[in-house]
Amino acid sequence: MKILNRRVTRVLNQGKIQYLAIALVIVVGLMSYIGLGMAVENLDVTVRDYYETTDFADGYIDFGRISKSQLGAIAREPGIERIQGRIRYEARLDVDEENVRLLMITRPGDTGINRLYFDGGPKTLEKDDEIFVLRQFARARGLEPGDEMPLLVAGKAYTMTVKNIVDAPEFIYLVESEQTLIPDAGRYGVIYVTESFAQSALGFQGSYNQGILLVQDGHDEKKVLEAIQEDFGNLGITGVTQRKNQLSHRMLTEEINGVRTMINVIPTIFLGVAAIILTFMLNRLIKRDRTMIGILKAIGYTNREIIVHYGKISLLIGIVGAVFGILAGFQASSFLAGIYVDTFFNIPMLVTVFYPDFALKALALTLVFTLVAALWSTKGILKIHPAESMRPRAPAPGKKILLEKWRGFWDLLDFNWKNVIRSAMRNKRRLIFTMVGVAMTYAITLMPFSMLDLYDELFVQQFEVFQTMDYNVGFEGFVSEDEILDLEKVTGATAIEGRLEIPFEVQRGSRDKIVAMVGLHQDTVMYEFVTPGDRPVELPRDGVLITESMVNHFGFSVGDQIDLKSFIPGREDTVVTVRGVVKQTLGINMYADIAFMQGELTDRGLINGVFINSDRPVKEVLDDYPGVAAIQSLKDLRDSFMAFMDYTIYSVLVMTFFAAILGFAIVYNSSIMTIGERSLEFSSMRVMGFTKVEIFQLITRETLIIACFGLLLGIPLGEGMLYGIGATFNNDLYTMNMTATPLAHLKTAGLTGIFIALSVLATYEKIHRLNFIDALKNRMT
Amino acid sequence: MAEFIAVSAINKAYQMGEITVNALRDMTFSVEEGEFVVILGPSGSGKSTLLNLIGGMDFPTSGGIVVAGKEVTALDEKALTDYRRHDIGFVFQFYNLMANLTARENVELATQITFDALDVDEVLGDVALTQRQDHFPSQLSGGEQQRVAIARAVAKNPKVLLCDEPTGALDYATGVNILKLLKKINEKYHKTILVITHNAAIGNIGDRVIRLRSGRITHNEKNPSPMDPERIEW
Repeated sequence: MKILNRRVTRVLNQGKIQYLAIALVIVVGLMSYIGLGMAVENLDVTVRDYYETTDFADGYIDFGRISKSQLGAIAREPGIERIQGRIRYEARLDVDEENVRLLMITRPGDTGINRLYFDGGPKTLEKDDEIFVLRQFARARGLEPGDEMPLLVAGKAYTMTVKNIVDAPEFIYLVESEQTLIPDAGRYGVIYVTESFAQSALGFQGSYNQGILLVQDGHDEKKVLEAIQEDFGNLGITGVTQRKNQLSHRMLTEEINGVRTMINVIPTIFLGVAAIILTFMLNRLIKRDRTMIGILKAIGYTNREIIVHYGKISLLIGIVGAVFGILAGFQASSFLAGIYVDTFFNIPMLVTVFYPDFALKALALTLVFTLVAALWSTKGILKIHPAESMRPRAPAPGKKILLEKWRGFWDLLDFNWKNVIRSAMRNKRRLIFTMVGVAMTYAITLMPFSMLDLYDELFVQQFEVFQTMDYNVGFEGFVSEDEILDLEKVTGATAIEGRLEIPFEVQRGSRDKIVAMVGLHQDTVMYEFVTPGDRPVELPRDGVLITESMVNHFGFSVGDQIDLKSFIPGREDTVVTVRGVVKQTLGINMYADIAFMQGELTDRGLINGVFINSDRPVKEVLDDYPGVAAIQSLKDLRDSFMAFMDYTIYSVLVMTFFAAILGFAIVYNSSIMTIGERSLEFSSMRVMGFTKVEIFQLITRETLIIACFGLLLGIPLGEGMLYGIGATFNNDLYTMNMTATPLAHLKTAGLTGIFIALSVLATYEKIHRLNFIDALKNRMT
Repeated sequence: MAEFIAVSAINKAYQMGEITVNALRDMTFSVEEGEFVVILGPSGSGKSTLLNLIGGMDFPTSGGIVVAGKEVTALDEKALTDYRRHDIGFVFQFYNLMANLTARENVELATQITFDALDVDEVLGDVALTQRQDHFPSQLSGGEQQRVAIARAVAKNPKVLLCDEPTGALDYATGVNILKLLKKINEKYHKTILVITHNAAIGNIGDRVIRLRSGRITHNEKNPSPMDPERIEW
């Protein structure tokens, strides 16, 4: 081994905590990148495989009712590979004190579209009282094959037997609606029944209410569905959904796309920080070794040889970090992929593909960053002149710092503080390095805290500020508004309002989407409309208010005309004017005066749901109420949100751990650099009678002053990063106003302070062991 | 004998913070091959600057230096590195050893970059460090560290050995041992050695003594009867 290489290993060994801290920053960055990246790619591959295995539908067409023969006619439409009829109905679990909604679907055949996935056990339903239960629901309620389930279908009670537990491609992410967002598998599940049971229980002899289809290769699903709407509009189509808009699929796609964007940012942040620390650390090492470098040059070593010598330190740290980061990333990817398919989503299979690209890209990125750090920091070697390096350095030019001009303040400080502030301000590079490092730590710590607050805000804003009803009850069809009177009595409502909710297909340019328009009374107490700037908005007499998410999705603005394609049989497509934009954190909607809607879109006096405020258990009261299709309790949504928050806390801990590593690496290295650079100064102080503790206090104060500036810089940096995340993750499912609350800032500042304190404490050992007297006597490097 | 080192009308001025220091003024002298030259002078007389210029570590403001037929002052940065690599060996007052290399490794550090290096074991034997070769500088006394520095300079097999206050940081007895060692190397390997020192007593051991003051030569003459280092005192 070359002697200088041996020196590299010894230099690394001497500063191992410092170098390990840097390597750890690299490890964390690469682990997140590879772990999340490969997990998401494996999730994508798994889902594709799962969809292929189960023939996941390309489109869904909802009907009031359609016969087998009518469906057969649609099947002949060009571009359709297969179409399959089924019955979908919202039944309920017949249990006391609970409202458990069950989506009842007729079981698809063994070769059918959206067919079920069996993990062993029987695959057929032989009797009409047998059902298959979706795994998430079965798991949440502890159901097993052979268990009995009391069911309420169209007001009639049935006792069904669980034949098997199944998985289904269309319920990978099981949520009831866009506004539910968080799965609550104990209260909302899916069961599969025989076609004969559904037809007899619901009076659907020989007919269905939904067609699901596969599109032939080379055909566009959107165009095929549009053609069906065009050609078979007279069959009572009530809704059309492309695969890309299918709720479970969309949630999955949003997650995959979000993570793909995020993973490109993560390694850049961590490797960037590692490169900055490396640059400063090598700079310091080279400064310390100035005489030694002069000696090497005097002996005859070339600049290139010396640069390579110091560059190796940077590259070795990078390679060690990359190797462990890549290995940890691979480990993390299987773990994360497991969480994705088992916990976050529900996919019964996992295709594990090894992506060497991730490792290669990670290694290449690390090498680029560490090489840049090496070149940047070692360029100072060129300037070291062997003869000059032997002479003592000329003292750095001393001048007053800006703060000293503020006499009133400056005179208040004692000698030690003046010394500390001068030192902190004079080494500009270290000042910037530590400040930026602390700011980064602050920003990364702020993110998880803000996410917690933001989720909270998201739900509070939606279900306490924006929507103030206790229950949202949906009817099976349109009813007279007079029905309210009876419901008011039955539910003991303190407030009740009829509502009209009708889905429309909205199209603008290449973007299209099914958006529900909600009709409300002018004097509604169930909604509080405000603009995105929090100014109150009145419900217009004509035209609509649209949500922010609609603006984001379509780019509509006030005054624009929206073309609405109606699914109500016999109703012409219509146009409405945007009268205002309102803040809504969950879902995408239009809001209109109910009278306007009734006049334009349905008959006068008709509603299809009510909002209720009541202290009574409305769900139980309305359990058997005829014509009620769905009851959504805002309290249930809040409860499921709280459960979700418990789960989220783990990711907060992981993020905080990452931030702690970053903070430690930066502050510790910065303090060690101070000790290294100023050992002569500290030695003189020791000779004068300063204790080690006093010198430690000096360094601590200096670091804390810089850290305070770092914390201040961290506030805009953190807000900026949150804004970036918001821009990446906001979609039409949820709109986050990515601004941290003062409390989140307070918590972040506290925690960052703890990280800084820990790093400073870790340097005490170094100061304690440093032989100040030797530093005065010896010029060895 | 022919001139082995020829210094002609050298001037050197450099900046020290905000001050310009005229370190050498119009200095001219020559040294023969194999001579043991002692350059004497008080602090600030320009001794180290002169050594740095001869060693190719610095450029003069004006004038020329020729060493073993090579015009050092005309060499570019790359050629100077090559010159230092093969022709010059340095010994410094504060040893300047690599703290995290052992005594042997410090010597090997120099031998690895030359074509015609001496045997490391033999050189370590010459400086009586065979037993201590695996010790790190922090485990060696000042005299031992200086012997390592000499071994490092000699092992490259340079044409000229430049020693900057080699006894400056050592006690009397150790200093004498180092001087004896330098004499031994001068005789055994027939190396031209330039020792700079402020210690006038050391001048007695040189084949030639050059005295400097304020960047000028005040005295330059051959010593017809150099003393054994053991006989000098300070």
